[in-house]
Amino acid sequence: MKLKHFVAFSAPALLLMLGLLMIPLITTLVWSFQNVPVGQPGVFNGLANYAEIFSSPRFGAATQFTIGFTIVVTLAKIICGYGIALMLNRIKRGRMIILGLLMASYVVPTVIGALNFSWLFNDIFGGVVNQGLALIGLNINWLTEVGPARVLIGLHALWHETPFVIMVLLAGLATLPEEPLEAAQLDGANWWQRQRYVVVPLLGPLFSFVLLISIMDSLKVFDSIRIITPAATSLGTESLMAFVYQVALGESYRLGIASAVNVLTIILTVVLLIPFLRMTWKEARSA
Amino acid sequence: MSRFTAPQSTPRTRRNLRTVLALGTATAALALTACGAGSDMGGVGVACDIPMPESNTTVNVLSYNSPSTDPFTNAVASGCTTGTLTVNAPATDFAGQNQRATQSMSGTSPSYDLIEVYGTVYPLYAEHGWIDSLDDQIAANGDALGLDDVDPVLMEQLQYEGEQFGIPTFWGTIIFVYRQDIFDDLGLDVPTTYAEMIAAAEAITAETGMVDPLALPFNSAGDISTAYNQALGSLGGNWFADGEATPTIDTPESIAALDTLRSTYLAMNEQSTSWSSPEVITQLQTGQAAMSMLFAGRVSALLDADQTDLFADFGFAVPPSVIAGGTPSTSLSVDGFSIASNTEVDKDLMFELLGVATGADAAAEAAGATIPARNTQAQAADLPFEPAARAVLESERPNGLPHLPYMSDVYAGMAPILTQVVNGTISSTEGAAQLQAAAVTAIAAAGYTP
Repeated sequence: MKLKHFVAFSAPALLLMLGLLMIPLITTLVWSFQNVPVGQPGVFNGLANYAEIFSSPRFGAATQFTIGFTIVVTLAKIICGYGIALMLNRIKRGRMIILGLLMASYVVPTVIGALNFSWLFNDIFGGVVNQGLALIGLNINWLTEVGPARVLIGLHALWHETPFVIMVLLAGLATLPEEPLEAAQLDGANWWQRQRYVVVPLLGPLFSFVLLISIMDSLKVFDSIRIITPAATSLGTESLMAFVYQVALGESYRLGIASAVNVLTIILTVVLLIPFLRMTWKEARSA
Repeated sequence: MSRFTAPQSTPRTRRNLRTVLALGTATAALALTACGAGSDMGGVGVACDIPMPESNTTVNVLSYNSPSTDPFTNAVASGCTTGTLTVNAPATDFAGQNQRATQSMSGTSPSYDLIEVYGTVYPLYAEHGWIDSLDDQIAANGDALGLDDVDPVLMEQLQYEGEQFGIPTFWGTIIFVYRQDIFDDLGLDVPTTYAEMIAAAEAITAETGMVDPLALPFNSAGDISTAYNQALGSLGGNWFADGEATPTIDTPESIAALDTLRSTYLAMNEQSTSWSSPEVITQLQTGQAAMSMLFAGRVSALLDADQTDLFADFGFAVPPSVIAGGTPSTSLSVDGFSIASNTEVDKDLMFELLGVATGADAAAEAAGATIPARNTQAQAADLPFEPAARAVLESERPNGLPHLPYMSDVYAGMAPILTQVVNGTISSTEGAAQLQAAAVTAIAAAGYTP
């Protein structure tokens, strides 16, 4: 490809990236070192924003919740998604219909899905899950107690995002070569050994991909928290993004503080993704 | 296949994936279609009899969507989009309205020209010079607006430091809502104090088996702050010292108000700290609850035969006071429209549009869903809940929030502390001290000093 063609094709995308990604990113970085009253130019205040954040118990709680949520939900999504994909892979008829129905929760906008999902756990709106739990003598205040509220946010993430994992892994399972599996079977490998030493390694790139997506999705969890537990601060379900929203737009428009939290979140995201980015880079080089 | 080579998709796999996505999308679309049913279109047919601009002009209106606000917004957006004038009113929710308003009005490139305003935000807008004082326009052209039909108390709610910054569209006070059929059957009187209200709840439970007859909006995200304002006002307390940015919410009245919230919570379902108005209204509509206190603008849903079989069974009254001899436990809320100071549209045209959005025709359209600010249309609508709301409005203390630019900052920080008091994590005395400290911090962060 000639240079002028390369420039012509890539320039629009580069300009878009510059305008929508780099400029806001640089602005966020600059604002994180400023006091920025809304509608007024920022005033440099050094590390004051970061000092305030690190001394804030609320920020600490939001960070802990976000990291814990990311680890637990990502693992649960992978385990559930792989299990369901394996089951669907064994079904010969109606597989796509079942998968299509499972996809409904993924396709529905998060806000609407979260609202409807929360009604399953809300006595006022029927609370189907609560009614089921009542049959075995359990009465859980999902929307007003810290532990249950956190579990509920995690369950929603599973309900909403696991179908994506299922779809990706099922596509991988459907295209696995027969020979290694047959060879393992002839060598006497049981089901667990075939999964451990054949299937999972063959699906390695897909597992990396869904892990990457899941970690990024979990670190930016926001919509479901706003809908299911609007009182996130009181319920211990305030994520970093919910915290940023409250500080920047919900309470006092402290854009400098919010920018500093965003910078820290970017660093946290990169740190958590480094292993997967390295793996993806190695695969790309070896391909 | 190498260890890290992704499996290849086949044409059959791709077809299957398309089928899956189609099925998922179809299911979701069905759900979403159902969600969109019944959207309100009041105000669309209102006439817009104003002089048209000579050149093409676009005006953007910012107003959160609700059955109460939509008729006023639609009146100007649909009615006045003709000839050289285009009026847009993009959809937004309550939180989005506040954020967009702040971002638009604080900069030099406005996105919106006509802005919905309400109690906690307009003093901030006025203080920052983001909305226009309307005094000169009203003096020069106000006769045509017929503002003498708007209660002076409502006009006063959109004044800041003696100047008029907005024209009211609708209003509401918190009123007592109850199942009149149950009260009549059991021979219960409408409660005049919180103690009587709780006693009535116990009587209803004993006689009818209704588990949670009392349902108040106590959501920890914000409604609990309104409940605190109600109790504080009823007990004669104040948020601030007169004329000073000094909070006074560690007083005996404040501690008593917190005690009231705690005792009221104990008389309700323990999930009540997750209840906002929609959850409470649903409980009333479905017969799960028999009593509440709600903003009058919300209760029309209880009178809609399409929404509840109990539509004929509700009664409305002045809310009880916390203790005998106190003022009703209520809060006043007034919505209206203001003109953004940084608008690039001609100010005379903006004032004309303000007149349409807050005018008698728009008020008539809105009267089915809320109480319009104009008395003629409010009374013509003969709303069953309007007499109770008006009695509160005309009472000694309708209890609107203080008109101060830092009120929204103070208000935003209250809820988590109030929740801890309500659920018993901290005492009322400790809660009052924490409220005071949080208010001082919020005022300082907003840039004000005592």
